[in-house]
Amino acid sequence: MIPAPLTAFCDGCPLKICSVHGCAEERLRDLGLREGAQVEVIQNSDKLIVRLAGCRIGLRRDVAADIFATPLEL
Amino acid sequence: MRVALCGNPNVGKTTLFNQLTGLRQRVANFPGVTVERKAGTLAGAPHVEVVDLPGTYSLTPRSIDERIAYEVLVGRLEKEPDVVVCVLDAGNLERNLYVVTQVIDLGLPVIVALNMMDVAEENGLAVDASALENDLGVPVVPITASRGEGIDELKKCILNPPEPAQVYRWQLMDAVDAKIPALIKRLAEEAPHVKPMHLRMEVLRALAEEEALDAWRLGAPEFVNRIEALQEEFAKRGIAWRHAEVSGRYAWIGPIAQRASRRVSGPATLSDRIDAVFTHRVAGPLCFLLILVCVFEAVFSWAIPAMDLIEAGVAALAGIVHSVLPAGWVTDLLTDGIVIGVGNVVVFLPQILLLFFFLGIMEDSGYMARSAFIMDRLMKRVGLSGGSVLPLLSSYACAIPGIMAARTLDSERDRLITIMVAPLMSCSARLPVYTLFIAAFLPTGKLLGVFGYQGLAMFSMYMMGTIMAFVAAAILKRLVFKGPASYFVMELPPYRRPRLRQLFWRMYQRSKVFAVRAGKIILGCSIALWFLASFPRTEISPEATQIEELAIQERNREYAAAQALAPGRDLTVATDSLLLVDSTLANALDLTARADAKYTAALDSANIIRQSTQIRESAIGHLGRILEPVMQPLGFDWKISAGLVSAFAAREVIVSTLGIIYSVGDAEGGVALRDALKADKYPDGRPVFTPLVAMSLLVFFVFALQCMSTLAIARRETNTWRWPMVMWLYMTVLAYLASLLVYQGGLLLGFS
Ligand SMILES: Nc1nc2c(ncn2[C@@H]2O[C@H](COP(=O)(O)OP(=O)(O)O)[C@@H](O)[C@H]2O)c(=O)[nH]1
Ligand SMILES: [Mg+2]
Repeated sequence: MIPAPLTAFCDGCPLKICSVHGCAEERLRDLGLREGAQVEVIQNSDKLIVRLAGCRIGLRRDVAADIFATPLEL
Repeated sequence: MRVALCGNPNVGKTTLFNQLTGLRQRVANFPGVTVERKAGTLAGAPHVEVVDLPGTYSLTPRSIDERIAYEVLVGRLEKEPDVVVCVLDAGNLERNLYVVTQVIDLGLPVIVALNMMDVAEENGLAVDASALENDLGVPVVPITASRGEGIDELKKCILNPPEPAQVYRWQLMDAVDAKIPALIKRLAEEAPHVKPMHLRMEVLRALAEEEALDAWRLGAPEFVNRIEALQEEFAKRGIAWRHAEVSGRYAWIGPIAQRASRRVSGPATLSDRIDAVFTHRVAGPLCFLLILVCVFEAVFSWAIPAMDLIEAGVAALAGIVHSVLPAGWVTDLLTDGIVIGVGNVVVFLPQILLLFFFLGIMEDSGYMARSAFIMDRLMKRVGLSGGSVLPLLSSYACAIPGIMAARTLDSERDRLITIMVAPLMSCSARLPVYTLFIAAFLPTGKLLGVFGYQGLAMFSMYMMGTIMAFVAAAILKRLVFKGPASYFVMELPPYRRPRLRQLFWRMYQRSKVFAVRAGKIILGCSIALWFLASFPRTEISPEATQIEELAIQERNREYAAAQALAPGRDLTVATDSLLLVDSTLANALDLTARADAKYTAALDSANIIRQSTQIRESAIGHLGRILEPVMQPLGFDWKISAGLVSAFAAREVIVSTLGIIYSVGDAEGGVALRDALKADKYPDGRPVFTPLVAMSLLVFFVFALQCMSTLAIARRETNTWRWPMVMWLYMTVLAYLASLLVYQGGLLLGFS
């Protein structure tokens, strides 16, 4: 499946990150949002909250739009 | 021996630090920067010093905190630590381990403290410390810092530190790895002071981070050239060199973290459920607003009794000093200059303490991160991020805690901009000035029968400042602090119950920093201002002397009249029983009492006239008259100008200065001063104060930076005089232009 930005996924969706771009790239990697990481979108409204290995990360929409992911096959 | 605590933000480093040291600790700053350095000695082992490092996600630094952590670890700021305790959140091993691998690579003995074991357990996560210990090759001690569990084991481990690891356990991608040895050699030749242990780390940092590379430009130009050439080569070959280190380390950590932690049951999601409300796109901002209203209401109303008490105490202290010491200018300096001047600062402490208390609760409970997150969308419009919301809002109470709160900001640029615009938010010190002039010069009627004009005026003062703060931020962002747009990514920590002990401890420490550091500067400036207002001395005031002489004559005359009423009686002593039978004696006594009262009143007014002559002839009075031509276009005469000069120390001082100039004794916003202001006329009969002049003055106060404490704290937080100076200049120019616009525009429109 073609990767889509995080903003395209609905609440509660388990995902696998494919690529990270944009100006916040380095910070995102520090926080653990990097290629191969498994995340779950827990809120997708005017901003996003994703869950990553037991912690929550809040993202501005335009930052989230630079993170591409595919749904995790269960 | 020195032990450093290191790890991600919010993993419990400070909590562990408090557990390890008890209360034997000192807070200072790291040399040359404003990052707090918390140090103390290990309980039961006074020869061991423990240092709490700022939180860091990696040693490739992106914020000032992270840079400090790195520089301490490599021994650049102070002697490097003998042992590093890496504190981890057991619930989030993978990300927390990243920085551990970096510290291990620095060749330092590392102990891992696996914190938050209780939370991990609650969330249904089983963490295997011994598996982790085997894989990492360093001691791992599971602890729950907040309950003090595992602290003794950790102490034992600190006192028997392990050997540093000698080998790099993770694999850099081959293409990059092949180039590293040559670069290490080059750097070692050009910068022999770098310890061999740190060379590899320095090379990796220089390769990945622009800023780290720039640092070598002077010291090791050839090394920089080679790195840049290499970066180009990698770019051509399509090698992701920038992420080489990150992916290499994570490739090693990933499986380790997976082996060590196992999910036993589904995640508990209390935090998620709370977040569903607090970060909801509609309910979230509403809750935030509600919380703010409550906090500010509390800060304002709860602080008032304490502030009154402090004011009374300061006045009493000044009185005592006055009565104990012989009269003279040294005593005046002590009381009017030092005691009152310092009192002007201390009086803000209750508000500051309360604000820190509530900010502390918000921080510790995890709500602070949410508030930043909610408001981010709004702040983005002016080029800031959500992190600036709380500092700016705190500035409504006082710019000082606001400026200090800006420390939590991730981006140094956002922090500076926030500091620069925070004083535009109307603080509580402007309130007395607003109150005096609005009450004196604005009509009491109501607009549309609902909103009082005076209330509206007050509200518009606050709005004006706030809007200007956003405009200024947007302009600063565009013109001065250029660069890429700020982004917003933030970890939202789980909600936790704040610990009172820790809360009070931090409140105390932050306020101490405020009182001591800002206090020193205030003390100096208060003394200077006192000298300006008291010298040159004008001992003689013919007007006052005349009043005194007249008063003495008058009193003597009335005494004589009273004596005539009751000849032969001693009027200085009287007994109640006598009064009952002898009405003439009662009348005579009444007369003398009234004569005494009149006499004291006359002496008081003579005193006030003396003070006002003193001010008129003092350096400040002269300054006011020198400034008059410049201030005339704003509608200000020399008295207002002198008031403005004195208000440089602190805004509310203008009220008492005007009180002294206008010779009304009990000045603080009293009716007497209001009437005196209204009655004052220029020699040609025009009134000095018109509603338009009052408006112009109010606008001046909204924008001008008249607060030494703010300048002092801005100096402390930015570590240079440059930004406070720029801040003062732009705000003063802004205030002048805005007042000019109001006054001249008003005149043109036919107001007076
Ligand atoms: N439940 C639990 N909370 C903890 C533990 N250790 C620290 N905390 C809480 O985590 C929050 C952050 O701790 P702090 O020491 O400020 O973290 P730092 O940023 O690493 O210095 C505080 O509210 C602590 O009370 C722990 O072991 N268990
Ligand atoms: Mg801390």
